[in-house]
Amino acid sequence: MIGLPVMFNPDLASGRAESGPCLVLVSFDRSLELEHLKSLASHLFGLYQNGSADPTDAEIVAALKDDLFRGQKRQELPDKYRRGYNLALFSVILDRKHAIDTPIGAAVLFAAVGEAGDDQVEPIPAAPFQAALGV
Amino acid sequence: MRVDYALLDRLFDEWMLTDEGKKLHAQKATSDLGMTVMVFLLGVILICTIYYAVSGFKCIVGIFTGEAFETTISGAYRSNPNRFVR
Repeated sequence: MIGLPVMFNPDLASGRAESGPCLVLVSFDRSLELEHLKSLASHLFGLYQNGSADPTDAEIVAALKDDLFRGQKRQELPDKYRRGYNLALFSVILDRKHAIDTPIGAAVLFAAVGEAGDDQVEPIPAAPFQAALGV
Repeated sequence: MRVDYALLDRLFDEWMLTDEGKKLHAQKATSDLGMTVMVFLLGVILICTIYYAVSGFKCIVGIFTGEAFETTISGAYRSNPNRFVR
């Protein structure tokens, strides 16, 4: 599985905290391009910031706006965003030293362990896998 | 940018042999055991709920008053020996 954060805790993003909660878009689908995952993560952040006029987005917008971390959990995505891929949102505690910077904008890449049906994923250091990620 | 999944799998297998990987594996094994236990308990509750639905209040009362499951189930056998073995 591969994941890209949608939202960080501000202290984590600024470096004031070594670890903190974040919302991560995870793909269990190996056929999904990282660029597409990044694009979808950005779109979801846009829904958080700006909402959506589309009534079918109401549930996911409400879930994104509920941005208080209440433990690790899984949030399913509407079909129109999954588009047949095995994707889900996970609230996790991310350790900054586990992450690696990428050339995709300001995105940060991390590694985690989990199976497709799991309710939560376990972040692990990304550095040992850097060679496989081409970053 | 593309992910080399074959290499990723090999690196992950190697990482699982490290102390950190072994620790995660142990945590996961414990978690799976916990889930197995939970499913088992849900099964017991389901059986008792079915019995409650067809035979009255005795089984549910038995659970919440701490009465042993064995007593409750054997009570079901006494009232209708064929209920669970049909």
